[in-house]
Amino acid sequence: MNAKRRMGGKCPSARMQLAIVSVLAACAGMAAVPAHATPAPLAPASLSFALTNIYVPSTDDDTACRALSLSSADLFLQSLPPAERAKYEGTEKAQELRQYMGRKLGFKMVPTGHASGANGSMAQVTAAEIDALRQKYNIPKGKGVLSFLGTRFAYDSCTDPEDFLFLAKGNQPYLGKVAYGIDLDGHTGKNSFTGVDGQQGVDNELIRATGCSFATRDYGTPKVADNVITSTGSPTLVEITDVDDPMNDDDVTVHVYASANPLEITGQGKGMAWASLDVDPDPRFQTQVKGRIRNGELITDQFDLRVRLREQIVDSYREVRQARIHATIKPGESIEGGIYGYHTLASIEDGYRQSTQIGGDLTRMSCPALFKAIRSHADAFPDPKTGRNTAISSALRFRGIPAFLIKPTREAL
Amino acid sequence: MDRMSKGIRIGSAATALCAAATILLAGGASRADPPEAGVPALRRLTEAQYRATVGDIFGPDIKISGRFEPDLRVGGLLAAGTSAVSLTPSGAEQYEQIARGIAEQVVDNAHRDRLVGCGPSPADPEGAACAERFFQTMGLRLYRRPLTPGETGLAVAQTLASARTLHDFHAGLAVMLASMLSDLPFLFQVDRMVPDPANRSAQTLDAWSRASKLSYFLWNSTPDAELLDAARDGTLMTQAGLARQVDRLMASPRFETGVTAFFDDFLQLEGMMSLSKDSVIYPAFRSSAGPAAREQTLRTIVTLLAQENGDYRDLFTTRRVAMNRQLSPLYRLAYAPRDWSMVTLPSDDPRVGLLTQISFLALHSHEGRSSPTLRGKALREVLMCQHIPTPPANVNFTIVQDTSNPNLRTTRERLKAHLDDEECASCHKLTDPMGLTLDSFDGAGQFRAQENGVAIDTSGSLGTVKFADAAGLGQALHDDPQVPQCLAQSAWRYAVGRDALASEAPVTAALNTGFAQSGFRIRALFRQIATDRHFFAATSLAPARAVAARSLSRRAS
Repeated sequence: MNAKRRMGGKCPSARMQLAIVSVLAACAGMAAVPAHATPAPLAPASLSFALTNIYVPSTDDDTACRALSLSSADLFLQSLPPAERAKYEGTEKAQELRQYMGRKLGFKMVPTGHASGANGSMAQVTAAEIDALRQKYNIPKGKGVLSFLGTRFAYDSCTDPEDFLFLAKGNQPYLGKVAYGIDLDGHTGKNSFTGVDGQQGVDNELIRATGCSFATRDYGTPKVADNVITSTGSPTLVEITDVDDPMNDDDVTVHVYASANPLEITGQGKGMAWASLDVDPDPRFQTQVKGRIRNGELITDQFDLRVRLREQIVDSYREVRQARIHATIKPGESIEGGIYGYHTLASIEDGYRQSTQIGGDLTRMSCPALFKAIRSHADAFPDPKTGRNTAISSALRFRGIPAFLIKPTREAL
Repeated sequence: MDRMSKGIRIGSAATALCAAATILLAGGASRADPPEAGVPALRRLTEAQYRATVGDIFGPDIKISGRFEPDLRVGGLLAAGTSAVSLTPSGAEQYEQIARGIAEQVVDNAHRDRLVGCGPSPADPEGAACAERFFQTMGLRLYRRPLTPGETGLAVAQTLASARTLHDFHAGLAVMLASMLSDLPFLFQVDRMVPDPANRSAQTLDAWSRASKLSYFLWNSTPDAELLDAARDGTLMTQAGLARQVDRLMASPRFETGVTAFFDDFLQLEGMMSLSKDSVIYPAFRSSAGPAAREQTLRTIVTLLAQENGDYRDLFTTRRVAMNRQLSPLYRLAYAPRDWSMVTLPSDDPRVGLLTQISFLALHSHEGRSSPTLRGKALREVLMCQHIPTPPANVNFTIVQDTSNPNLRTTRERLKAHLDDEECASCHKLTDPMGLTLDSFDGAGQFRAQENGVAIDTSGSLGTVKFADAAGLGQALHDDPQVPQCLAQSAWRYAVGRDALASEAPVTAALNTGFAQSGFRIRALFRQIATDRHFFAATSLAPARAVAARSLSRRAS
């Protein structure tokens, strides 16, 4: 950050005097003209982006999986006597099979009588209401989770995998040698991958545990994911402040927020660049960390990161400890990179649980098998009492578009 | 479908048409002398006027569904086409269908207490008294004049006949109401003539027609109770009474609706409602962008001209614009409010004035590229009331359409190559020097400094005035006397619902003068029109005679 900027550089958009809320210095401004246009005389004070997707990336190595991991329906079918199995075999019977599985295993999905919360958030349902639902619908005591943004209460193999342990198998480990990620622990060992950029010692046990699931194999490669996955519910916002030179600056601050608004979508179904998005005042989703930009590559220090995961039927979160962000910045165009660190099992499992059996069926996974896999591959932050690891080395990839971030007023905070 | 709805559907078509025809005959029999050629006796309500009228009479919760007959643009204005359109058989059918939907709601359980307020009783088993009261009240609002005793009697008789057939009083009422809503006196503003109290040898519009004309001009809707009272007691026929009502109407917030309707028509913004852009080339221009951009322009105009009573010419140089979050990405603006508000663009922002709003830029462009020619043509035709000839049918547009030509990388270069043809050049030289100045905005209205890697040259000219950018173009239009004159003439044609007559040259000249003297205030212009006796003149002859008389008088002196 240079002296000129400290004195308050020129930022056209920030000149708007808006009473209700303050506008973050979202000038990414030189970016307001195409990259090939004449550069603006002053560097922007900050760069702001809305991340249009965050996902677990996978390579397209066809030899990395012996087979796809089995879904809960596959496993349930296998468990049936031959005569019964014959009745439900075949893709055309998939729906019937799932219904039968639900009946047979006692899955429940009942209305709570609540509408979802504002902006696709979870409805507030009291513990007493939940107990009443358990009693009314014969759901085991202490079991089941609120799902579908609190409009439903569910009990099934995703919400309570420990009750359906016969489905906790059939997960295929990822056998590829190359994976996204970075060397998190400074060691290169037998469990390390080679990074997609050739880096040695890459730590990514999450991909080893889940990399052969249908969803990861089919939608996890960036060339597919970047075209298919657009997270609209509550995008993560990234603001890089104190930027003197968007290509090289040794001292920048990176702020991560959740958006209080859904992502605006273009006519092509992509995120709308330059939208004005409100920063969610919820302090759980506000973090900042120091970083540096070298040749357009942003690298942050380590920090504990929590981002919101609000999508369709899920209002959950992603939590990554000792996270580092590595990203390529194209001012006025995009940010693209990864979040590398130790993903807490609690946050991964919360997402699985809220997905319910319906989500599990759609993505052809077996929740009990995935719970088992991530727990067995967890490699960091052991619980002091149990000694079990509570986090798993991981890589998340993201893309983002330029956005204007609107900060809440002090009163709102 | 309940019994009543079914009954209405079965019975209404034949009954309503029969009733409508009868009432038309009754109304026609009482009409005054036919107007002379060139002056409309009838003006069809536009869709917006129809909707506003129904909302005012029955309430905003009455749903109006159906397709309307398309309006016709004459001389750049849909309003001027309202006196040129008729009612086609299919259009009549559509109006009847819409009317039935409205009538069914008026008499349904949710509305009948408020809107009908009575029914058959022991003393009035058939409901004749109720029907009479209903049609006397509603008839005034629907026809914008009192029903004649014959019309009321016919409406009551028809209602009772239908009710007997359908075994339901309210169903019968709905049949008759639907027929009135499909009827010419409702669908058309009707000019009825009376001797002019100020000049017994001439004719002028009667008070009821005046009320309609004022209300649709200033509010774009039907007269309210107070205006109808002024028609009934005759004060609307006096200049003082007229001025009092005009001032009242213009002091109402509803005047903003009238101003909105005028500029919507004048700027031809209805085209924004169906405007589509190539989503591959302009992904940010979603289907909702067109309607939002229309509203942006109209909100800007209403704020600056109606609410703040600003100078019309400043529209071309102002940096203030209405904004919302839907449009702010297209402007690359940080925008905090959750709803519409006025913002001031930074002084170094390339956008200045009306011409750099998304509505003008996107409307006068092609689906996948900008068009200096279309933009220049619109500037000339819409804002300056000039006429640009249409291109010959055999023009080859290949060169201008090829935006990826490596040798002609900017629109300016491509147009220059296209203008090798002298015949084309003669028209393009009227449009392109202005339009090219706006080429730093793409076909969706988004700013761009370059095209295909080449900096865009935004220099241009209007007549002998040269400028370097859109701000200069805006200033040139601001300073050009044709621009406010065009607005004044258009406002006159909008108000009278037809093209100006040659004999009205003194009227429009006086409007130009008055508009200039007021500092180009739209309120002053509208007031001048609404209080001008020519606005209510029955024929074109009155002003013509006046002109001739004045000329003779000058010669004599």
